[in-house]
Parts: sequence; structure tokens; C-alpha cells
Amino acid sequence: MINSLIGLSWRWIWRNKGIIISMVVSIILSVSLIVTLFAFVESTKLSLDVESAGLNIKLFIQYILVMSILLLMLTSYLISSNFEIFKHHYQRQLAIMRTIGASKKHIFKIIWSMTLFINLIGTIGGWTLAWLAYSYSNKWIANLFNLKLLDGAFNYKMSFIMLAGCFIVLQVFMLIPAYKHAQILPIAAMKETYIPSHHHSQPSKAEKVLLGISVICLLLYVVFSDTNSGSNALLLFTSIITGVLGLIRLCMTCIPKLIAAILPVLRKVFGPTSYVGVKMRAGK
Amino acid sequence: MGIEIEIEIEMKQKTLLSVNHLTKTYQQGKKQQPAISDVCFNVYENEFLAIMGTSGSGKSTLLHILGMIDSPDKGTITIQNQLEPFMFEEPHATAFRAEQIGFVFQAFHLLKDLTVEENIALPLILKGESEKIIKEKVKKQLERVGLSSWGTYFPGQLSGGQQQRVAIGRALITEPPVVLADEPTGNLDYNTSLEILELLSELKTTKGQSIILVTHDPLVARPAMLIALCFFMMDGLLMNILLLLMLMTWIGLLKSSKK
Repeated sequence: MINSLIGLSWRWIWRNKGIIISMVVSIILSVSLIVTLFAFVESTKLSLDVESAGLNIKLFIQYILVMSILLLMLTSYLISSNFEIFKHHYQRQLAIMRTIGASKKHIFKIIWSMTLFINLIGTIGGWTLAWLAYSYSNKWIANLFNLKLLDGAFNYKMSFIMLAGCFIVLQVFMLIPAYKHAQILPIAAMKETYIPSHHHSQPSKAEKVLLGISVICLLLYVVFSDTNSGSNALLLFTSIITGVLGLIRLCMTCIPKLIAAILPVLRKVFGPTSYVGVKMRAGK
Repeated sequence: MGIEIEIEIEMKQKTLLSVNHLTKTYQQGKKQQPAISDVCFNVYENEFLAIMGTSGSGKSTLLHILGMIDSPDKGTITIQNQLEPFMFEEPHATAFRAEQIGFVFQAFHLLKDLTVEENIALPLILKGESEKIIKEKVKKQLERVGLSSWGTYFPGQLSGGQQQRVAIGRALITEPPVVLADEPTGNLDYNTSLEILELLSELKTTKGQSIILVTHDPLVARPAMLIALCFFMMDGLLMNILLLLMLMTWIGLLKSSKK
């Protein structure tokens, strides 16, 4: 029998195994990739002549760092989207809890505990996968394809730093779903006809700002591209991140409209069943 | 002599909740739709109050306001003669709901992922009670609502009547002074409805809680009139049903005498 809020988190994790596993797997893959890359670079640094290859490795590390942050952001976005599905399923139950006396803090604690569990299992699993890959599969692949491996051991120090870094970054991003869930109002429980809105009819202020920043950064990058300064990379990086985020949000805005526009054609070509199916999925 | 005793009993009853001039208006486009208009009444300790009325008469809005789920445009609610200035604002409203109110809904509103005993235990978990206290109280509550052997079942495995019993058990486990029941028999057949009304009445007698029940169903209203003080609600106005009946009878008599 459940006796605490943490117990309730466990129950929801257990009852939503499919969603939780997909989130854990996405973290495992991202973290293992990041840890493997950094552990590899560290061991390469030790085994190569750093004087001659120093600049290249420095650039390579910066490139991996940028890619890692992007990867973590995408993973966080994926997890947040999964939590949106969870929220859609549990909106009513959370609203009931709010009605019978659960505060925003209670709901935040439940969701935060769930994210903590997912993140903990995911990052530890990712590190383990990276370690296993580095220790065993590398040798196996090298033997299989008759390749010569660099003589470097798995860099534990670097891998643990990356593990902690990934955990912190992902957990910071998990504040978003925890906060969103905590905002559910008790009144929803009373309204039988309550339907949560999933339409993104107009681009929000945040989407416009993101796209604006992206465009400005890209323009600045083009203007100063011949100066060969370090700030160029930062501008390009910022413009790519904000551009990707802005485009994702914009697609979410445009797709329902696009589907609505092609619905009549779809009806004529594929018949009424396809029409109704697509219409219902699109939520129009 | 009899009347004197009755008055004395009434005097000894403590006012639990005092509703003063509550008004709530909804905006529908350019039109203003009054949901409740200048509603005033008192709820005393250990009282069973039934509010009847047709759909859209404002009963549920009134219940939402009493449960701090909605806020009025005008008017105040005093609890045990104390006025809380920010009672409709968060986090005061949540704290009030957790400590003072028990909810019973028409659609039961049980958490489908929790067992019967866990659903009943939920308000205690939210209050942060210890495992020992939770287990003891849940066991007693299961006995009270007649579901001792159903503790480990999930709501989906129970009948409508049993689910409503669980909801009542959950509403009363923290022993709140006021229980708000919004059409508690709306999804049940007549016999089960009577059982649920009896259970509510029994629990009120045992624990001394006050119950405010809202219904539109005359079949439920009829037995409720025998055990409860009844009000009738129409177009947002609250009327004592006995006064209303007397008035209607008097008008009827006047009409017949004119003929």
C-alpha cells in the first residue's frame, strides 16, 4: 500500500512503463554517446603527440561539446514531449488530487521524483553502456574488421564528469514538465466536458523570440564571417539552437493547419474512413 | 415546552459556515449570466443540508465556491465565525480544501491507478501522516463504508455504488467539518442512491460532520427531505423549500378563493 508521495510516483512509473522506458532509453543512448566521445578524446589526447595535434583536438573537443549540448537539449525535448502525453492522460487525476487538497508543491514533488528516477537510471545506464562499449565491443569490432585501436584506457575521471554534467543538464530541463504539471487547476475535475487544448493556432511570443534571435545571430555570423574570431562559432551555435527550437515550435503550429487544408483532398482520394481518422488524430 | 426545547437545541448548535450575500456572474460573450445571486445561509455543526434545483440553477457553482474551487464576485464566507481575507487565493484555498472540506462527486473521481485503500488514504498521504496512522484509519474507514474485503481492488473492478462508497470514505477520512456532495447519486440506480444517502447520514451522525448535498433528482430529493434541511435553487436564488411550499400553497388557496 502506498503511504507517501514518492510511493505515488513509483506507482505511476510502474503503470506507465512504456512511456518511462522510452524516456530512459533515449537518455541512455544520449549519455552513452557523449561519455564515449569524451572518454575517447581524452584517451586519444594521452596517446597522441599533443604538441602536433593540439589545435585539432581542441577544435574537435569544442565541436563535441556543442554537439553534446544539442543532443542533451533534443533528449530533454523528447522527454518533455513524453511528459506532455503523460499530462494528457493524467490531467483528470491530477485535477482530482488538487481538488481534494494536493498543493502545487505536492504535484511538483511527484513529477520531480519521477523525472529524477528516469534521469538517474538513464544516465547510469548510459555510462554503463559507454563503459561496456569501450571495454569490450571496441576490441571485438577491431578484431572483426582487423583494425588497429589506439592504446588508451577508458578515462574514468572524464566519464564521471560527463555523467554528472549530463545528469545536471537533463534534470534542469525536467523543471519544465514538473512546473507544467503543478499548474493544473482543481476546477478541471469538476467539469465533465473539460477537453485539454492541444491546438497551437498562433505562434507564441516565445516562438517568435526564438526565431528572431536565430535570424539575428545568422545575420551577424554572415557579416563577421571573414574576421575569423572565436565569437563566430558561438553565433553560429546560438543561431542553430534557437533556429531548431523555433522551427520545431513553428511546425507544431503549422502542421494542424496544413492537415486541415489537405483534408478535403484526402477525403476524395482515400475515402471517408481516412478522412475521419486523420481529422481525429489532428484534433480538428 | 416542546418548542422551548427545540429552540434551546438550536441555540446550542454552533455555526460552522456562514454564507453572506454570495454573488457570481459569468460572462457569455457580451451577455452577463448570473449563476448565483445574493445567496445567504448558515450551516450548523452536524447538519444535513440538501440543495435542490434544475440543471443550470447555480447549485454546482455554489458548491464550487463553498469548496474554494471557484471564487465569488461578491460576498463572504466565514468559517466558525472567522473571516479569512485571502481564502479564495492559492495556496490558502488548497489548504482550506485539505483541512476543512471533503468532496463527493457524481462521477466518483477516484484515481484509477490506486487501489481502494490507497484512494481512501490519499488525503492522509497529502497531509503527510505516518504509515501507522494511515493504515489504522484506512482499516476503520473501510469497515465504516462496508468495503473491508475490497481494499486491494482497483476502482475499475467495483460497481458504481461501491465506487461511491470509496469516494465517501476518502472524503471523510480526514474528518473534515464540512462534506460537499455534488450529485452523489447521479450515476446510481434508485436503490443504490438510497443506500448512499443512508451511508452519508450515518457517517454524519457518527462523526458529527455537516453535509451539503446538491441534487436535481426528485427521487433523491424526496428521501433527502426526511433527513435534511432543504433549500431550492432557481436562477441563482436560494429559497427555503418549506417556505416555498407554504407560499405556493397560499397562492393556490388565494387563487381558488377568488374563483
